[in-house]
Amino acid sequence: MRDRRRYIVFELESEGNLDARDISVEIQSSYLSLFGDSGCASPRLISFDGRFGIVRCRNGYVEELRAALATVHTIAGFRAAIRVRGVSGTIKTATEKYIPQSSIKPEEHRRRVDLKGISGVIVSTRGHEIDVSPDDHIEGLDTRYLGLTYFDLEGGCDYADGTSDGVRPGDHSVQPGRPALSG
Amino acid sequence: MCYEPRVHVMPQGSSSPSRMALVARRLGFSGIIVMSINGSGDLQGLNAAQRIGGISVASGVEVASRDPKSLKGRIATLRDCYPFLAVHATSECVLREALEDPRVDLVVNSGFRLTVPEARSAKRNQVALAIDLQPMIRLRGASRSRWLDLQRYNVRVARKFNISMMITASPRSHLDLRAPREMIAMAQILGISRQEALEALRLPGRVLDMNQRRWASPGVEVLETHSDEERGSE
Repeated sequence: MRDRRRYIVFELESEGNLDARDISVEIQSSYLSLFGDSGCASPRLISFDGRFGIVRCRNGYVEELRAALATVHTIAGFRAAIRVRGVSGTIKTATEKYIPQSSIKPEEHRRRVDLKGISGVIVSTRGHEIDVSPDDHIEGLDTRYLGLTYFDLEGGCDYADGTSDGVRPGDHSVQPGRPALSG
Repeated sequence: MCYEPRVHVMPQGSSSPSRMALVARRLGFSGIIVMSINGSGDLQGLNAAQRIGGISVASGVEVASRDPKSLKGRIATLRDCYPFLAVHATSECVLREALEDPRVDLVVNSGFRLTVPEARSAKRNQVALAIDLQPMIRLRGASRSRWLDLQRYNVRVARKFNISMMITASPRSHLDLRAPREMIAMAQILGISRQEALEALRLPGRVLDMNQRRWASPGVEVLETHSDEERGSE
C-alpha cells in the first residue's frame, strides 16, 4: 500500500553556494536530532536548484518536518536558513504554485561600502537586500556577512547611495532597488 | 498580526534594522521590536527601517543587569523612553525582581525553573514570559534535550498560573528570523497549543499598542487634552 505524501517547497537563504547533497544531509540530521529514530515523517529531498527545493514527507507529519526545517542554522559550515514556501499534495502543483518560474538570481558585486562604523565589500544583492563582507572581523558574530539594505546606504552617508565611489545626490542614473554597478 | 518581539541589530547583531524589517515582512510578520541593550547608543538605521511600508518597526529596550539593585534603577530611567521594556534575567534574583515589577513587559528567562511565588507575582504584575526558541535552533543533542525539558516545565507553570507568553527566535541576523508558522510548529514541540502560540505571537503588538496610549492612572486613559483651548481663552 502506498503512503499519502506531502511535498514541502522551501527557499534556501545562505551565505555560500550549497549543493543538494549538503541540504539533504542537513535536513535528515536535523530531523533525526529533533525527533529521533522513531520520527515518522521520513523526509527526502526531491529536488534542489540552488535556491528552491522540494522535500517529500508523509501526510500528517508536515508540522513536525516544518519544525525540524526551522531548526537548521548551519549547512556545511555556512550560515543558512530554510524558509518554507508552501505545502502541496503533488510535485506538479508544488512546482507550479510555489516555485517562481523566473526567479531572480542573487547578483555578484564588488563595490565598497563605507558607512558610520561599517566598511566592507558588497558580496551580493537581491532586490533591496545587500550582503556586505566586512573589512574587520566583528567580535561575537557568527555570520560571515552583514545584512544591509538599500535604505541603509541611501540615508546613512553623505554620498547618494553610500558607496565610496560616490554617486552624487540627485543623480537619477541610480536605479532604486539596487545599488548602481561600478563603471 | 504577528510580532517578533526581540530583534537585535548591529552592532550586537549582524544585520541592519531595515534588513530585519524586509525579511520579517517577507516571512509574514506585521511588526518587529528592535531591542537596544540598556538603552545605550542610538540604533543606526532605525529611521530607515521605520520608513519601510507594510511592517511596523518599534524600538524597545532590553535591561541586562547582574544585580537586582541596578535593575530597579535602570527600569525606572528607561521605562518612559521606550514603549517596550524587556529584562534579560541572567540570575535567579534578577528574574525574581523583574517578575515583581509591573513596569516590565517581558522577561527573558535564560535557564531557570519558575517557582510558584515567581509565577504568582508574574500573573499579578502582568509580566509576560518569553519563550526563546533560539536554543532550540542552535543546540543539538543532550543540551537541547535538557533545554526542552526546562521549557516544557515553564510552559506548564505558565499555563497553570495563566501567565501570558511571547514567542521569539531572538534573531541577531536575518538568517535567525523564523516565520510565524515555523515558530508555531516549534512551539508545539514545547507543549504549547496552536491557539496559545498564535496568541503569544500577537501579544507584543497588543502590549505595544497599550503602552503607546496615554494612561493617567490604571484604567483611565487620556484621549485628548484641552490645554490648547484653555490657553486660547485666557
